[in-house]
Amino acid sequence: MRNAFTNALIDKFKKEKEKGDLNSFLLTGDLGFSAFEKIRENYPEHFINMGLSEQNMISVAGGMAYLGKKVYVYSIIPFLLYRTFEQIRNDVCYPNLSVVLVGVGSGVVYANSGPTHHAIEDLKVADALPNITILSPSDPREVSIFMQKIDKINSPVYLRLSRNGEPIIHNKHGEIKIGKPLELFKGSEVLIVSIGAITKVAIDVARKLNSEEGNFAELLEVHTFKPFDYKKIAEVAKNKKLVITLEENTGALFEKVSVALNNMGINILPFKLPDKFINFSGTEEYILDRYGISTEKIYKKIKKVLARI
Amino acid sequence: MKNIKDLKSIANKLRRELIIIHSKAHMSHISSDLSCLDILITLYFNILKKGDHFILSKGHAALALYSVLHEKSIVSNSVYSSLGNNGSLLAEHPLYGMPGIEIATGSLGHGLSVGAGMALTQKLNKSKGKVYILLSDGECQEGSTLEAMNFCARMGLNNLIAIVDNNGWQAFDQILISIKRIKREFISAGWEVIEINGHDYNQIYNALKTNSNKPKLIIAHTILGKGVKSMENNLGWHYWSPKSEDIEKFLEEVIK
Repeated sequence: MRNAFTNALIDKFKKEKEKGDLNSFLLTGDLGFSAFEKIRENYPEHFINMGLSEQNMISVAGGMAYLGKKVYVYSIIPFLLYRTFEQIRNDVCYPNLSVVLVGVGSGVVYANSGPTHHAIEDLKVADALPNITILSPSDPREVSIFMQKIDKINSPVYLRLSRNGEPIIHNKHGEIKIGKPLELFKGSEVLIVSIGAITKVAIDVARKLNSEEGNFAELLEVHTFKPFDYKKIAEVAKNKKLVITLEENTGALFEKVSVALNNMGINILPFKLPDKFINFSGTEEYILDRYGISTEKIYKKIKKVLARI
Repeated sequence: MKNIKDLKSIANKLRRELIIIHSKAHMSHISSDLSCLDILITLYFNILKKGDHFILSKGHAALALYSVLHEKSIVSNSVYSSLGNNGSLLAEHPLYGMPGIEIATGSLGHGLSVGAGMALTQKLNKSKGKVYILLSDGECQEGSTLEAMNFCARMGLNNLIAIVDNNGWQAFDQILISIKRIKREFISAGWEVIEINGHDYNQIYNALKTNSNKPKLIIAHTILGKGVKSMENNLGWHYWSPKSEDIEKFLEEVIK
């Protein structure tokens, strides 16, 4: 995802350079090793390493955007979003400025780095801010598409990236529109709602269920967390036996889906991380699996719950 | 361009107005207004031009700014007289979208960074405009102010002028850092630093006007509550607003 983001920016800077424009900027909080070298070398006028001063970075972006620039601000999610929450709130969201907060490391992709680097509450934190659009793409192709669409959004955006090397899962799927959940499978019995890079697991689970019983599981990818399409979720969930939510957050998605299905009498089965600091080391896969998030465990749990309904 | 006599008479008028509007609106921070009023008057009447920007980073002195904006006819009579009413655009800290206000402030430690972003953009756009930021001395304790200090120097933002209202007080104490050390820090970071009497119009004007090839910090030594004798150097007036029955007494205290 990071390469898709970098390539989209390179395209943008290239076009601006050809036209002699200087509209868009990438500010980084001293991160981007083996990612931003090309930008720094070829488009130095569009790039500033802001150093280790994230609060200043956000407010400077606000000041630049106030005078008409489009500013992409990049860091690891906790440093980008948590340390600087008030700067984002007062200097970007309140004046509703065109600043794109690009956070890398959604969920526990920085698994071994520990809780200081984990981002399992970021959706809830960002969701608290008025005026912000929250985008959580599931693969590099979606990142490229969002980067084009973000060009036309003149208000704050939080673009939540995983890291790098994610598989492309969107080759065959329909048009991706901001604010509209993406239908990846059609099914009649259960609905799986997923967000972000973990969607690849959701696809595996849906495939497994559908390989046994035809069009059994429907899968909706909610790449836009804010504004959230409650109506669509309720529409699709109607007449389903079970709704499953899948996220690498502590229940942000589960809570919104619960609101969408309020009073509909539909069972919801959440797969999420606990409201805890994950205080052990291990791979991303290990951590997720330990909390029941793997194709195998999700599949088994769904079967078990369905047998009881 | 106003001469010193005119500025003094505006200041006298606005000091009296501040007593009345603080009382009417039951709003705090009159002492912080009075310490920076002479700086604001100099800026708005003799310095700011089209293309310049001003940020009141010490947003709690909003009423002083409103009084100056009203005097300049940037804030209308009807807006100005709504102060203290429910639904008014004039809050105790400047709101975004209000006439004459570019950036909403109130939380300290934001203004220098936002101003740096604006000054950088002015340079990128090859615009001649300057960015002026009024900071409180207490605000220099915020880490973000020091982050911005380093950034401005590194980017060579000589179109940025920050003024510290050094009235010597913060919300619950006398100032907890040494302003001398702040001065040394800005100098060693690569700023030009000037110290002035923040109530002397000549000194304020000259400090703002002199060109520099570095970002400039003006440390303005001021008096908390300046110009209303019983409010001077009294922490209580960070919070109290004058009672209506005391207005006459305070008006008599205003320096001529």
